[in-house]
Amino acid sequence: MVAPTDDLILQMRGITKDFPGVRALDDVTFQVQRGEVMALVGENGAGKSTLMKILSGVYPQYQGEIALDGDVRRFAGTREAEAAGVAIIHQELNLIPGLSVAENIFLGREPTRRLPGIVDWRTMRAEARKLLSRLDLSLDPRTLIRDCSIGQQQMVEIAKALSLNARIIVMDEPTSALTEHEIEQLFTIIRQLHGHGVTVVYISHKIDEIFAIADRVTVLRDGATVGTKPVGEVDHNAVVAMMVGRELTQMYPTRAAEPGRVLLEVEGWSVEDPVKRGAHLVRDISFVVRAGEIVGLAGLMGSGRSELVESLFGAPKGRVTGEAKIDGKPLDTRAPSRTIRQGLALVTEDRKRTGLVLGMSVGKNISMASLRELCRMGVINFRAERQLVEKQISGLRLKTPSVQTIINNLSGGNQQKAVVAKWLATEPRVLIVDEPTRGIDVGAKAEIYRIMNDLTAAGIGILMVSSELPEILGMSDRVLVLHEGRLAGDLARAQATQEKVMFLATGGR
Amino acid sequence: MLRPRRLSRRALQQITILAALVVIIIAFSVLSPVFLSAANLRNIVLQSSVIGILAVGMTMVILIAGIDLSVGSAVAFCGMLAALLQHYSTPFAALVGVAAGTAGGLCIGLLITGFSLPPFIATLGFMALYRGLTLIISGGQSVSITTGMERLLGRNMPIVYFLAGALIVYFILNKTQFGRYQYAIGGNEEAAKLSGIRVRRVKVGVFTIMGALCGVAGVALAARQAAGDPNAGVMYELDAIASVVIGGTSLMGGYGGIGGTIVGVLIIGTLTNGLQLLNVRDEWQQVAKGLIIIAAVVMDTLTRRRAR
Repeated sequence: MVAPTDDLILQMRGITKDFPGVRALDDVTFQVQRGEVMALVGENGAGKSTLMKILSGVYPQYQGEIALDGDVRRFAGTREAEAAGVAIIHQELNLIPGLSVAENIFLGREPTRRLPGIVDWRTMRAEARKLLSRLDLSLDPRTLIRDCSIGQQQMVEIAKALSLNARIIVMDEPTSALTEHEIEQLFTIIRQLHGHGVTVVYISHKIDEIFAIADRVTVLRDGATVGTKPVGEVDHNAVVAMMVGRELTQMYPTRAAEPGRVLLEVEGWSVEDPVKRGAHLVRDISFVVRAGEIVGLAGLMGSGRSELVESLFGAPKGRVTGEAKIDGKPLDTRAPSRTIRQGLALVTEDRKRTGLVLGMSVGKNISMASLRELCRMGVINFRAERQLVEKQISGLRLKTPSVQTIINNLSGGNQQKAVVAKWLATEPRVLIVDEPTRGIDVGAKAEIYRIMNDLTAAGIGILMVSSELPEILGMSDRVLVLHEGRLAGDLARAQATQEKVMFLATGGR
Repeated sequence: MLRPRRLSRRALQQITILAALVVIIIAFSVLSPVFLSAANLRNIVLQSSVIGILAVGMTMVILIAGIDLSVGSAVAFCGMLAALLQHYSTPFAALVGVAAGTAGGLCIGLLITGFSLPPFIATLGFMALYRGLTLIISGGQSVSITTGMERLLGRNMPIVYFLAGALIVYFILNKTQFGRYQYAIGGNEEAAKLSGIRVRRVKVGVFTIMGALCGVAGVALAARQAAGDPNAGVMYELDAIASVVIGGTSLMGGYGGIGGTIVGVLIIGTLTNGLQLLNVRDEWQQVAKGLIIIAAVVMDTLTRRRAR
C-alpha cells in the first residue's frame, strides 16, 4: 500500500506494460512533486508516450500502481483520468479548426440554459474569457481555431485543461511547432501554472528547454527508469549519458566494403516549411554518399531526416533549394518517376502507408516500380515480370505462399523485404532507406542488415535514416547527425559513439 | 494461410452476383411467359448496352477511387451534336460526337489533377454544363435523325459497341501497365506516386477514355432512337455507377474488374425489363433499383470489413 505523502502529487510505481511481442515499459517508477515542472526525456521509443498514456487512462491494462495524492487509482478511460485532474496536451492538438476558441474549450460540456441542448453562449464566452485572462492571454473567445497560431492553439489547450480543473498537465513535445517567441510565451505560462497549483509534466527531447523550464528531470531508456535528478545537478552531457548506453548486439554484419567514388552529392540543400512561412524543415545541408558506403542519418523525431530524403527523392513537403548530383550529373528531383530513372530508390519509413499497396499481390507490389521495363508498347510481359519477381523473392529469402498472395497477409519482416525487393528491381545506384527495420522482428532485422551489407559489397551506396542508435552505429561507415533541420555533425565510424551522436542530436555544441 | 479464405470471399462475392442474376432471370421467366423469348432477351441486352458502355468506363473511374456524375448529360450532349450534324455525313457527325465527349473527359481529367478538385465536384459541374449546352444547341427541341445514321449506327450496333468497349477495357485492366497502375492508384495513391507512377497522367487517361465512351454511348443512343433528345441520359450516371458497384468494384478504389460490371449491367437491365413486362409502375421500379444498389454497397462494405 502507498503511504500518503505530503509533497508527492503523483506516484507511478512498478509500471510494466506489454504489447504483443514487446515489453514497452518494465518496472518504471515516476514520482512528481506538487507544483513542480517535471521533465520526462528519453530517445524515440524509450517509453515516454506509453507511460503518459497509462497515466491518462488510454491504456487501462498495465501492472503496477498509480497514486494521485496518495490514493491508488486505476483509470478505465481518459474521462476518468480527466475527472481526477489529469490532462494531456498531445503533440497533435485535439482542437476543431472550424469552431471558436470558446466552443473548443467547452466542447462536450457546453453550459446550457433551462432547456437541455440550448447552449448558453453568453456564459460560455464569459467563462472562456475568464480562463484566458488567467493565462494573461488577450484572445477573443469567438476567434476560430483555424485563425489562431499554433502557439495560441497550445494556450487554448492549456485553458481547456484548466477549465477541467486539471491538477496535472502533461505536455508532449509542446514546442515542436512553435516559434522562439511563442516558446517564451509558453514558458511564461508554464511558470504561472505553479501559482494555480498545477503540476506540469513536460516531455521533450530538446535538452536546452529542460534546463530553461524544468525543476527536475526523469530519464527513461528502453522502457525503464534510468534516474531522476534536479536540473541543477546535471548538465547536457550528463542527461545524454543517461539517455543512451544501449547494448550493441552481435546482429550487425562486419562491414568490409571499401568506399569508392562519390555517387550522390548534395550541396546547400534546404526545404521550406509549407505551413510556417520563412521557416525551414531542412536547412543548408551538404554531404556525399560513396559507392559501397552506408551513410547513417541520425537525429531525433522532427529533426528533418525524412523531409531531407523525401525531398531528394522528388516528393518534398515544401519548396526546395540547393543542388544534388548523382554520378556527377545534376539530379532532377521534380518527381519520383524522374529520380528513380536516375538511379535513386527510397524505402519509405511507413511501409503500410507509403510503401505498399496492401490489397495487391506480393508479385505486383514487387514489380510496381520497374513495370515500365517489363512492358512493350504498354503491354506487360508477364513472363519477364514473373522472372523478375521470383529472382527478388529468392535473392532476399522472402517467405510467401505464392507471388499471388495478397501482401497484407505477410509478416512485417516479409512485407519490408518486399519493399526492398521492389526497389532492387529498379537496379538503383543509391538506395535510401528510412527506418528500415521498424516494426519487424529480430531475425528479419538481421536479414535486412545482411541484405544492406551485400548491396554495398556490390557497389551500391546506401543512405540510412534510423532512430535506433545501435543500428546507426552498427551499420554506418559514416554518421550524419541532424538537429532541427541542420547538419549538426558528420562523423567517421571511429569517432561516432552513442554519447556523441545523441549530444549533437539534442542540440549540444 | 489466410490467402485461400480471403480469395474465396472475393470469389464468393462474384458467385453471389452471378447467382442474383440467375435468380432474377428464373423469377421473371416464371412470372412472365414472354420474358425468355429470343426477341425479349435481345431487347434486354440492347436496352442495357448504352448504360453498359458507360459502366465499362465507369469501372476504371471507380477503380482509381474516382466518380463521374457527368456521363448522363454527356450522352445527351454528344448525341445531340451528332443529330445536328447528320446532314454533313454520318461518319463526320458520329466522329464529332465522340470527339466532343473525349475532349470533355480530357478537360475533367485536367481539372481534377491540375487543381486537385474532387472528382465528385468537377463532374457535378460538368453534369450541369453539358445539360445546359445540350439545351442551348438544340433550342430545347428534339432533332429527328433521318439521313441513314439511324440504320448505320443504330439497330443492334449498341450491343457491338458495348462488347467491344468491354473487351478493350478488359485488356487494359489485365494486360497493360496503364491498367496495373489504375489498381495501384486506387489501392494506395501515395505508395503509387512514390513508386514512380505518374498518377496525374493515369487519371487524365482514365477520364479521357470515360469521355470517349460517353461520346460513343451518346451517338449510339441517338442513332437507336433516331433522334437527338435534349432530355436523354437523365440518371444514366446512377445506373452506370450502380452497375459497377453491384458488379463488385469497390467505391474506395483498388478492387474490381470488368467481368463483375457486365453482370451488374445485366442485373439492372433485366430488372428494368422484367418489371416493365409485369406492368410494375415506374415509381416502384425505382424503389426496386434503389434497394438493390443499397444491398450491393452493404455487401461490398461487409466483404471489405471481413477482409481486414
